[in-house]
Amino acid sequence: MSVVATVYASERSEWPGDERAITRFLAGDPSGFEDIVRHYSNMVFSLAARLVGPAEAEDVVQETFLRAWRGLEKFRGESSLKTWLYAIALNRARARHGTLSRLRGLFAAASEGREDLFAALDEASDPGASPEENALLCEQRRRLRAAMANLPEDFRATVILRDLEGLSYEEVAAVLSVPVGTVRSRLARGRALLKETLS
Amino acid sequence: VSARPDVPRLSGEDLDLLISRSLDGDLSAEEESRLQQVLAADPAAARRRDDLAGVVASLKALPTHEPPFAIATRVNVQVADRAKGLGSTWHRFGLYPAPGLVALALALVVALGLASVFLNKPRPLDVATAPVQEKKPEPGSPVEVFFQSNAKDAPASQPAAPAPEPKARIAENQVRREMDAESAQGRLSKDADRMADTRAGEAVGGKAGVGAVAEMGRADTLEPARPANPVAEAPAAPPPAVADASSVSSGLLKEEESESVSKQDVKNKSAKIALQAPAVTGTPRDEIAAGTSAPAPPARRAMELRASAPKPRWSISIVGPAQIGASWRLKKTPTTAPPEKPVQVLYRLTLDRSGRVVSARPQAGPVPAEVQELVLGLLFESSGEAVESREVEVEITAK
Repeated sequence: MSVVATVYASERSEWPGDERAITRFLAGDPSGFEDIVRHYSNMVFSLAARLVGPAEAEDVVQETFLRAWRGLEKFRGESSLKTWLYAIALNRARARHGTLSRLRGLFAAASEGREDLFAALDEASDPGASPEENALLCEQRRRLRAAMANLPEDFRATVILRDLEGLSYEEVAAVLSVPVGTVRSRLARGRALLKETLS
Repeated sequence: VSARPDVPRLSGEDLDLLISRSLDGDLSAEEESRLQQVLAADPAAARRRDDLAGVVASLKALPTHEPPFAIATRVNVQVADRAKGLGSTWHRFGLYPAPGLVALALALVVALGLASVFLNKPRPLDVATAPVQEKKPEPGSPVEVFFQSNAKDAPASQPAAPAPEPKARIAENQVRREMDAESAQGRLSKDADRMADTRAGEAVGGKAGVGAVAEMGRADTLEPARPANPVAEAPAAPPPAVADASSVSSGLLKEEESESVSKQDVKNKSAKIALQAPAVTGTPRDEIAAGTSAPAPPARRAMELRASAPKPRWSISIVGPAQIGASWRLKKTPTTAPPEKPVQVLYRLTLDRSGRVVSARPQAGPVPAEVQELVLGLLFESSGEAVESREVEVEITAK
């Protein structure tokens, strides 16, 4: 029990801020990077789960922070640490997703399992709603995820980062390394494609 | 024609862009008011805005997966495990090499080390294929001209002192064998006479003669043409055959002293032996002369044994400072056979203008006669440069 309490306490520790955490890490203090992991791991996991599914999301998180640990000395602060970590996670997810997609192409039976990754999540019912409303909501979520899965990769990443992760245009532009105008147009076209698919 | 010309008409993509930005609050006040005018004037645009707003609301309402318990702790543990490796050592010194860079650097160092070892290794210079060492050493640096002679390959690789051709050698051996066969035939005739004399009292008429011919034929077959020279290419007859023939002869000689001889029988038997012996000894001689048929089985075994035995080899190295090595090169390869015992001698040679050895002084103790003969038979040539010294240090090795 004490171990659980310790872990819980460590994950709720005070966040010193990007700059101080990075400075401590570069000075040789490992607790600097531990703070970074504690502060950003949930966000990175959320993005990874949306991109590759919850089953592989933790692996993406591990890879993301390992890359961050190796490359943090090259971080120059031109963007925020948050967008930098998102960019790493996106690249890791793309690499993993590309490999998995190719494998799924070889083993068609495996592709059926990916839709089930979100099924339990989509079927989560609202206690205040009627069974009919819950069924309708579940069907709407399922269709929306299917439409998202069929979006082109650039549009899909932009919509996820903006509408699901709540990043600003500038942050999305920093993560994707594209101009803000490109983010605007990709977002508008992605949303329009989703509307057409759902209608 | 628009019913309200003051309201701008927008294409579908422009309208979607404005609506999308409006939903995110990214429009300026002026852009927002213009969009509201469009939406108020165009019901289809207004429906489109409502649809897009519903999509965005649905997206934002999508449930998210809760992160696993203590994911941060697990990630930190894994990072700490990696940090215990070599990378953490670099980090303590403020160095952050890229992943794989250290391994690449180590592999590069190992490759360079191996390359330097193999490239600097002195390779033996085969006179048959590369008689002249083309690479010129730098003045002052040590030079070593290495020559190895294999007894098996030596005759083919010596244009300066050609060895006898195989056919000529076969012919030479054939002459020797003919001479030996004739002498052996004479011995056989004598032996036959003696055997006939010894058995004359036991045998009766032609029977004794036939028996003597048959026995001598067997002895002759066992040693058809024993070469006089053991170094000759044709193998010598195996020792048991020699012992057999000699025992027959010696036994007959003893009997000759004690028994009487019938002169008529002796003449008959000698005539039969004279007719029979060439027919027996002729077959192997013809085969060797023609060079096509294989020798008799015992001789073939002896050849195989000789071929499988390790051949003694000469090894000649010109050692010493660069001025000497650069001035003189070995021109003529040794033709003499190396001694059976391994020898290694360092010689100091004095050469004349043409590169012939004038004097050879071994640096240590007495040396075998074969080595001395070899050294005196060596022939050097100058490399075309000004010859400052006519002394060469040569290391002779026979393995």
